[in-house]
Amino acid sequence: MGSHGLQSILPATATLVLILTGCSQDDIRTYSAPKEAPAAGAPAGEPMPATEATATETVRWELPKGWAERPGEGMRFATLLLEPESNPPLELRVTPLALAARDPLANINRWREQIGLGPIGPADLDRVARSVDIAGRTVHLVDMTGVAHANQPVRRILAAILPGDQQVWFFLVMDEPERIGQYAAAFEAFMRTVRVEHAVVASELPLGHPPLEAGGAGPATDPGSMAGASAPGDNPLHWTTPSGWVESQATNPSRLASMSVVDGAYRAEVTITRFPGAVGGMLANVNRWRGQIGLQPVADLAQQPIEGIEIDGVSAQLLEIHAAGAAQRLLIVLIPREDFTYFVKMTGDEALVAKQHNTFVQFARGIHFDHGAS
Amino acid sequence: MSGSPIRALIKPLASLRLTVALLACSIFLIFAGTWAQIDMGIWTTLGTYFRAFFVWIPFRIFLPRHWDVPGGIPFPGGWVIGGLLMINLVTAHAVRFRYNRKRAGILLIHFGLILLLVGELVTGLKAHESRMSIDEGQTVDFAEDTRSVELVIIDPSDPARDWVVAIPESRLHQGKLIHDTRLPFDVQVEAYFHNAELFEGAQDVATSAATPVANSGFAVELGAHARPRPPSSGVDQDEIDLPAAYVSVLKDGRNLGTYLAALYFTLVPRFGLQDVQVGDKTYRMALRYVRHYKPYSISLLDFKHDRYLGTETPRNFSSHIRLVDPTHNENREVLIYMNNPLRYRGETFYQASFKQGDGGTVLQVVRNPGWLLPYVACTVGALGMMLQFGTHLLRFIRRTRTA
Repeated sequence: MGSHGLQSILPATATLVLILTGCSQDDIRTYSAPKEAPAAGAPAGEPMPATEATATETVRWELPKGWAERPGEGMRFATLLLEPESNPPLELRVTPLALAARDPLANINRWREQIGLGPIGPADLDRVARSVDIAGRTVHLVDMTGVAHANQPVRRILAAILPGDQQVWFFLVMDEPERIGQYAAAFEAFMRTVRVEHAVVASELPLGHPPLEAGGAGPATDPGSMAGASAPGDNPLHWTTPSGWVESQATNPSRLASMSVVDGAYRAEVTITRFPGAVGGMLANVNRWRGQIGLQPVADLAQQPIEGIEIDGVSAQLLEIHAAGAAQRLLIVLIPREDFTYFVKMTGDEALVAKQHNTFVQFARGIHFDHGAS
Repeated sequence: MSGSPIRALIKPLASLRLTVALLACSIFLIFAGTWAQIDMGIWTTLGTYFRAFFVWIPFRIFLPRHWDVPGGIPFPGGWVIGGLLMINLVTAHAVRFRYNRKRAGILLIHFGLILLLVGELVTGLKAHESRMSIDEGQTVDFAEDTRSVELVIIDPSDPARDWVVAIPESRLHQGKLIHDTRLPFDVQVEAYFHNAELFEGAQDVATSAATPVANSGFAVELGAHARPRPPSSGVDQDEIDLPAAYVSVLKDGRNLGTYLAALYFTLVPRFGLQDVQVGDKTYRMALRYVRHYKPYSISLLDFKHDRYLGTETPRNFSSHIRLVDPTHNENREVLIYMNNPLRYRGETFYQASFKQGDGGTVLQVVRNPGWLLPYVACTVGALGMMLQFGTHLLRFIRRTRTA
């Protein structure tokens, strides 16, 4: 080939490498895309995005006699109380996670760590977990007793991993071995009644919208209850929207209502949410709200004025969170009623929220509950 | 050219010993890369061992993991070995081989090998794979790269279309302030976990004090926190990394809130995008798989998962789709099934997987400008072998006849 061949091959190779190693993938990119969520009203004929369409999977069970059921909170779907009267409670937690989390071994090892045991390998899986067929699904039933560690007493775990079609469902109860022991058979019998179901949800519905055919409210059939909320059908609240406030579709499953207030360049949002229980206590909540407007946490509730207010015969609390120089202000009414805490909250630009103070209080006073509903 | 300094320089590069050494190195690299896949996903291994210039091979990958042997050796990666092999082959032709008709077979075989190496180079640098996941009855106009995520900030104020600013994962380093004129606000990355576990409950129970606390968005509404997890190995293809980031939104130097953006929220349809309020505008934010929007759309008319009669053994998967591309006046139905992909506008759509309950399909979308090269390389190589062995055979027959 001689020097001619050599002279032509080397530059050709160098050019090829240069062309191929051209541009970088590390840059911020911008693009215009079809509307993401239809909350703002997707134009007709626009293709729907693929992934944010429907959350239809739920689970149903037959509640054993003597057990009680509470709707979930946060990422928990539901909490079952095995001994409703006892204190501390014996809770069976039902939590759905993305299918990616369905590996039994990874979950079992996470639980083992919690009860002071070392990890196991795939070969040991059969020793701690039993696969059973429940309504055509392979469910892993787990029974493990831990060891005392780091000031933690010995605890035993009864758990089940149920793979659904869209999510994986975890059922877990953990307590002292003696207390758990008496429920081992009942737990398995209960698991054999659990069924994965799909509610019919039209894909045009906005995110978090409850299914159209959600028959009967309640944690077992209502996907909206994932975050402790409920379908508007069982919304026990009634209110009168003040003039100037614009009510919008609540796009989050935990919200019962969503309103906006606009005054010139200033904006504020009013929401009503419902969560089971006391939701972490007042100090934790106050510090969370302070954090939302960039304020430092307080160590003592004495530093936060709390006013008493009566809402439909229920003693509630009114808080105003603000500080000199802060751009935002919060007005919150907490209504503890039966097993739930209701939050009526106005968040927005400092000047507007200050101006709306009386309207907000009047609005909150006007809220009333369905009798017999929580 | 025999006396030229260039020739003296490249002669060692053309050495046959180097060829043997490089082939031995590549065998060892493949061996190590195979063992490494016990702990790392195939794509991480591919990036670390083969599409890399150098690699650190830990001793422990060859041993039972509980021995926990420290140390390792540096080793040339796939780019170096492949590159040197190519240089070796090319320079060998330049300095050692003579060109005549008798050697045409060898030349063709070597040319085939060079094409194979170039093909892998083109694939490694230019090929792009993504996934299109479509439910029955749904229309989708984007593919997702399920190996990388990005933090997207969406301005939904235009009633017709969303304006998206996407920050790649490579920019999401803990403590990094992302300031860019295309972003409506600055983004401070408080923490980034390549694989995270979300959990509910009090922050102080399960995370270290160093983990940031979100005060806005889903994390507050759900009472959710994130903590890092080790990256998932590639052994179980159902196990994937679920990245999460704590990010603060800053406008004019003011912190408007810290959010937890997690891929988990994107994968679970009931969450989706979270709102970010900046002054009087509401933006949306998500950490999601990198999306590539297409100028055409694909609707899934029907997905079929045929099984052998009376068994659960899959016989065939097929997606009956409608392809609509207004820019090319395309509007046609296509049946995609195993070994029968759709090729359209430089991309190939393979039937890759399906959604749980057979409710939808997952198509693998591959754009590889070098996809033809391995076919051409193998054909050229085969021709070369036929020529080479044929010539030898003819020579042998001729010799036996004369003898």
